[in-house]
Amino acid sequence: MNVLLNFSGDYAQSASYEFEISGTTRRVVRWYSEPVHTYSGALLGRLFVFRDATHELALDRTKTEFVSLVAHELGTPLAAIKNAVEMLQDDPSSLLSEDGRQYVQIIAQRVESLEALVKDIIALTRIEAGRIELRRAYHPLSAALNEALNSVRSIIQARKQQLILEIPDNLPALWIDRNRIAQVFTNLLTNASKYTHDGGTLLVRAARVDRAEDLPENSPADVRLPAVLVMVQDTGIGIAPEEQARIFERFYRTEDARKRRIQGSGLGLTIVESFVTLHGGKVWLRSAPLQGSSFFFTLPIVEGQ
Amino acid sequence: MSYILLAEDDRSLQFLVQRKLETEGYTVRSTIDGAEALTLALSERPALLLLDIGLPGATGFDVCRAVKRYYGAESPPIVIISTNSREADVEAAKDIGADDYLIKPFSLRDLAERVRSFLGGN
Repeated sequence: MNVLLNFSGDYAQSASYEFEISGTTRRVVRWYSEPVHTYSGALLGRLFVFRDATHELALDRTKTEFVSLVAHELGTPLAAIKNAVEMLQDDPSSLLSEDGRQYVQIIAQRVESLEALVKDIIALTRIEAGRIELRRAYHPLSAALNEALNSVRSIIQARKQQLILEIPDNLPALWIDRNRIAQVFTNLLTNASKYTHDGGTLLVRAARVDRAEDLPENSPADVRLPAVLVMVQDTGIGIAPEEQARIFERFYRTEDARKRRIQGSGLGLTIVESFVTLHGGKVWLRSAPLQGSSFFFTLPIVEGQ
Repeated sequence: MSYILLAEDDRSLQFLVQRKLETEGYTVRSTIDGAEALTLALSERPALLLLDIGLPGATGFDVCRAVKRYYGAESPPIVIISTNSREADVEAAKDIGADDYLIKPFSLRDLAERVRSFLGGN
């Protein structure tokens, strides 16, 4: 209840929190508060709204468990389809016609996107359920990047794009969950490649930043420093200014991406933001339509863990 | 002749993994039952075990634990194959002695490569 008292004065912000009432039944109450002013601007007082959110939280949990179960149950049939396709592709005595090989290729591609989608959904449900624990150790940034490149390189090569890496050798080791940061790179690079024309250029650059004035101009105000700043830049279709605030929302896809029939789940950047935030970092972007996009993220440098 | 023991209760996946390993020149014996896998593993000492986790009879973890305890340092390598993708699952498997862990859906090429790394080319 103490938190309520903090909002009893002339506090010009709205706020929402939740607390639990224990007793015979546990209820979760979400509350929301906003200052109320007269037309002339004088403060009349505060408006408080309390809402019993117990049921909606329970529903939300059920949804998360359901989605995770579905995603999990998709794993086995996907495995069988994927492996059967591999056998067809690898069988030297295969009697497939030229058309037949193309059909198999179509199945292979679609299974691959389904697999990626299921993976994203599993990651997202874990994030939402708060079930992500980072397994941190000191790793060089390049360890995570190389792990990502193992899977992304073939996508970039298939589109004849050029990938430039500018990673200084003297970056400090970072206190990170390597797999999670690899996933951040994978998602950003997959996007960069996907939204850039064939033959375009992708750039990954990293640098140590100690002072706020050394950050790029459009950086958020509350970046934890010192940090390693990473930029993933493409020469692709770009993102309209009015959409830039929304692209980290789950399932959000830009108008342009949908019009161009570029496949995607709208989960990649949501996962990027979650993982970077869990590491104490920030993620943001700079982009304009047809001018390409640059995604920035930071990973704080922490010593002596 | 020594063989690879495969315990997988999804019949199509079992068939595919077995065929893949056979085309690589290995002999494979398959079961869908964990208890049967354990009996075979303790009486015939396969060259390598591929174990799904959710099996009837005994779980892949039960089999792994028992086999590792029985053979100790001389134990055949054990590879867990499962849809469980949480790090906690992977670590739990390593804790009971599993030598490798493949998350489904995996690539058969990848599986064959890992088997080769344990057994050498055939």
